[in-house]
Amino acid sequence: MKKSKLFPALIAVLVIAILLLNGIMIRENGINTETVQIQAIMDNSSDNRWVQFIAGMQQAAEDQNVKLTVIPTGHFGTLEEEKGVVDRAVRDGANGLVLQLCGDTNVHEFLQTLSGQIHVELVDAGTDETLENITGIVSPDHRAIGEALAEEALHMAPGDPEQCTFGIVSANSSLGSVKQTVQGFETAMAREGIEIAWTLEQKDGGDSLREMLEKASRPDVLVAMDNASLEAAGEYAASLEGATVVIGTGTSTKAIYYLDSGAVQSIVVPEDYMMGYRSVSDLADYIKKNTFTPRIRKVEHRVIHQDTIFEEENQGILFPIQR
Amino acid sequence: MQDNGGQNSKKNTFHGQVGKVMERVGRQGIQASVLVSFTVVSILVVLLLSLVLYNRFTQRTRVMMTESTQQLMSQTETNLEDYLTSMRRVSDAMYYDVIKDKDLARDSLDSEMFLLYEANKDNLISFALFKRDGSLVSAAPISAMKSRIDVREQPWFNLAMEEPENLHFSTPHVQNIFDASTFRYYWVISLSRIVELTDKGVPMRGVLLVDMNYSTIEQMMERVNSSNSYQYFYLCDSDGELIYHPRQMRINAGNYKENNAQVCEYEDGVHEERFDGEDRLVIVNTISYTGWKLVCVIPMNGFQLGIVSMRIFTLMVILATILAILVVNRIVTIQITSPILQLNRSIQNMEGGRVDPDSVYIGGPAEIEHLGRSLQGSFQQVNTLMDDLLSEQDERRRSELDALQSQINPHFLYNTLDSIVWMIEGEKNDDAVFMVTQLASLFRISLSRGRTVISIKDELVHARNYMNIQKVRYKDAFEVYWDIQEEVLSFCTVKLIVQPILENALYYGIDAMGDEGEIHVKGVKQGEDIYLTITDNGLGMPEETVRQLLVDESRVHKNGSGVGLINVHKRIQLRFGEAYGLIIRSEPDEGTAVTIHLPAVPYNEENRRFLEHGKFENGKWNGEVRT
Repeated sequence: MKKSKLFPALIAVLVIAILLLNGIMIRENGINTETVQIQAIMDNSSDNRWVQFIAGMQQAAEDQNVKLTVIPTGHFGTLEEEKGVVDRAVRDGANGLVLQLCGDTNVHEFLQTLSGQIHVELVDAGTDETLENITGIVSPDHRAIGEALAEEALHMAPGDPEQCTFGIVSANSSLGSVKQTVQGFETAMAREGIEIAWTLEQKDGGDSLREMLEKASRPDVLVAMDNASLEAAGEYAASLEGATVVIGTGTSTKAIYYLDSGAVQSIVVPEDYMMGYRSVSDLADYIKKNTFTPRIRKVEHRVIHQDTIFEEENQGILFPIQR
Repeated sequence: MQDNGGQNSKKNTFHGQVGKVMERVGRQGIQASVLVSFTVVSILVVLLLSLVLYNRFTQRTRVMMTESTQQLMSQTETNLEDYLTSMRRVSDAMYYDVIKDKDLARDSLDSEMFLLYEANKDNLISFALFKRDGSLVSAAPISAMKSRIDVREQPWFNLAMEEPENLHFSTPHVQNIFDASTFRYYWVISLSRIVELTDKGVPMRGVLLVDMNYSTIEQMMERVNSSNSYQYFYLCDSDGELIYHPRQMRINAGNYKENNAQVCEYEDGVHEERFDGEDRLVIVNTISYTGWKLVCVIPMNGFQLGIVSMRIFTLMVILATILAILVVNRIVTIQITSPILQLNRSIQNMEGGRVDPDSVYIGGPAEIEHLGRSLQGSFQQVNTLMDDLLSEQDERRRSELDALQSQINPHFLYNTLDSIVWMIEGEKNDDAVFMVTQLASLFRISLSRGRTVISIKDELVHARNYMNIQKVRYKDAFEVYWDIQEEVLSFCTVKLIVQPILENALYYGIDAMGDEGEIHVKGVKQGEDIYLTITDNGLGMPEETVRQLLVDESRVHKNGSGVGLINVHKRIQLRFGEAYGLIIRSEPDEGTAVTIHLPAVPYNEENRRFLEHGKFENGKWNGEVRT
């Protein structure tokens, strides 16, 4: 009896094992051949500030063997405008989305509508977002960047900082990242008892930042809270020939050029390359393995001055080798 | 010695374990033994072959990939050398055709420099000529030099000044001596050399800088890197400084590590190394003149293309092979062992008793068939021998019983003859004649021409003869009553079965009764059976004695003919079967009734002959007629 049951049991075990292995192999081949599609949606994607970020995403896409598409976009005034592009990405059948939220109202509802349709990795975000309905967040610590800007502003201020006028300029104040940077800066300045003389924010349909800066009273220290405003501030300062200390945060070669040329004195540069790399890498991991734990990642930032631009450890970050 | 002892002990233990397992398997039967042995050997062979082939395949793949990579590297090295040579030629052309023999005070270099730049601008970013004091002589394309830049602090300038006999290739860097008013910064490799300048007739030294477009080298390296996703190529200088790496930005960001600092010390060739927890193969080729190292890194697991799928597939093949082996072994085992098992079952049947030789399995391979036929022959011989033995025993017993039956108690004969003498002397001639007549009839029927089976009629005549003689001897001290149905007389019986019972009745029953003894002989046919009952009113017997009468062969009649009731009982059973024989009922002081139970077999010659030589059981003939 025992003998007669052993043989069929052995055969059954072997057949089951072969079928299981066959299933695993088919699945394995399926994963290898199936192309994971990831799309990236950022505000004004052709902006020079995204060069490092896109380079990072491309490297991760190559390493992870996924297909990456950077959706060409213009400037999103509101989250509603961005939603249209996101919906198109969902319809295109993308598996994952690297998304910069261009607004801070109804964010939760917006992400909830995407839940179950597409995996979303947020980038360059304010830190208030929760991990609900998303796979993760990769972003610089904008509040820390604001604090670093404040430190630089106080350090670079001509004379006694308390006697200097400080002006703030930002191109896209609706972005959570910019708000965080401003908050970080203002908090740090307030800690030192320094008041901000004025704040300029570009509005849709209004004057350009350059025009707004020319109309405003000339500050001793002008602090740019994003890349676009830094470029505008640099251009403005170049015309003043050094009368105003300009500092800001940004990554574009234009912004760095103003630093190189001396129009800007200090730039806080977030490591956008790593933000791009991490975002696609994490998202691809999540889609492929489905076991990845959602997380908030912070990327580093570094303070660059004119004399440190071409230092070996900085030039590799500031000037991405474009492909 | 201890080690040897330990090894021997382990070996013995292992052998012991294997022996135990084999013994256990052996106990399961020949089929299990053969199946397990075949399967274990086959699986071991399959696993061994798989292992050997897998290793061979892996090694071969590794050799092929290494050779293929070396070819690719050789091509890339040639391309790089061609490119670098062409850049050196451009530098030479600039120096020997444009700069040399020109007096900077009167000759402008701009147009010729620009022409050379235009001719090579796909691979160049700029030309620049500097005096020893760092001042710019000329540049193409014409660009404003950054005011704060002192080229004498630049590495390429110092290198050229320190080693004037060589051309120097720098590592990639962002060009930073000219104003980037177009907001564009270029990655370049600077080729610098010392040149002889003439200014107002005074020779002096200067530095010629050719900023090569880094993207040309990058594109070359990217082409070679796109060929395989597992291996990658990078380029470093003789000090290990990276010139190109496919993950350059990650390395810059501290997100990736490369072993370039060590690899730059490797000789050209294939090296194995372990770096960052990964075993890998590194192939190094040195680019001539520059001393740059072209390095290919192949992670060891990269040799096994589609490693997971391949391993799963290999495992599947092994499992499928084992499955096939099991099934085939099972079929082969059954084919081989089934005839043996069937033969074994035949032998097991023999152990249970008599075997029909035709039931012995004949089939399978020639050897087994031969064995079966031999066994069948043996069974036939055994059966024949057993039959002969039984027959002999049966015959001997019958002979013994018949011989016993034929014996006439000498006392009876002596007493009868004495009575006859006494009658003759007393001139009782009629009585003497009667006695002699009865005695003669008694002997005639006793002999019956040697027959054992006679008619009940003759048997009863014999009984009457006997009783008549005994009545004379006992002087009519008892009475015999005969109540026999007429139809009973024509059936068969074994001869001389009534007389011993009457004798017993006389000696045990009537002898002690004086003149009041009565013996009743009754014969009836009931259905297919005949019952002859001899009843006496003698002393009778206790129940225990009655029970022993038909089972205890050691009981011998002390006064009778020597033929016990048990012998009568057995003779009946030997002829007619177990269902027949004697039935004895007795009560102390009441008397005894002995019933002879016989089948109603009509007496004729045919039946008599059958009964003489065979056996009658359950109403039918069962036996062979023996001649």
